[in-house]
Amino acid sequence: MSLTSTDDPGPLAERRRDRRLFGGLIAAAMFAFFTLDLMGRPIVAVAAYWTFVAGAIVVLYRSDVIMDERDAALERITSHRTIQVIGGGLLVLAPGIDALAEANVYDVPPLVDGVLFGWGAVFVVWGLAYGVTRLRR
Amino acid sequence: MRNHVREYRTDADMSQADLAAAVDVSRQTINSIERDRYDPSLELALKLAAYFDCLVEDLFELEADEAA
Repeated sequence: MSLTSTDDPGPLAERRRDRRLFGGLIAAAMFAFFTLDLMGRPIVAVAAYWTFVAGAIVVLYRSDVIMDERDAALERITSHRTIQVIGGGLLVLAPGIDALAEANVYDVPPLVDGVLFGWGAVFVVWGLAYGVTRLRR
Repeated sequence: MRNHVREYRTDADMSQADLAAAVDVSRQTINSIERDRYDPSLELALKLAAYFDCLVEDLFELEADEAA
């Protein structure tokens, strides 16, 4: 049984090519952003960054081979663990820090406030995504 | 879950990359399945069974403590 024809690069080569293209575009986005920003061209830096990132997103969504089912499973497990860590952190830290601040024991730095607000926002997005997914399945 | 993918693959004198290309997954996925680190989806299990012309049960089996 012939697995691949001679003119067909095959799914593994195609996958390698798409992954390299995706990684290259993300690396180029970062490089362009930091380089142009350091050169004092912040608007051009962001424009270049968005352009490269848009290219990476196009590669990601147009490729049938860039991710297989194991990659999807790894992404699912990793996302689940991330939500568990953030959720656990939020449950423990948010009321504790708030209580310490109210009792004037600890002056909460704005950075910590920002981090907790960000974690809360992640959960709002997660809840919306969960609701929509549940309705559609 | 245990599997016999490696035995079937080596009997067919194929590399992991050959099998991966035949069932449209990465070589790493085949490697993970053979090392019992990843349980494939039903679709991939059926594809593997169809490729080796055997039953899914010939390729995959539940461990004693997993059986109902």
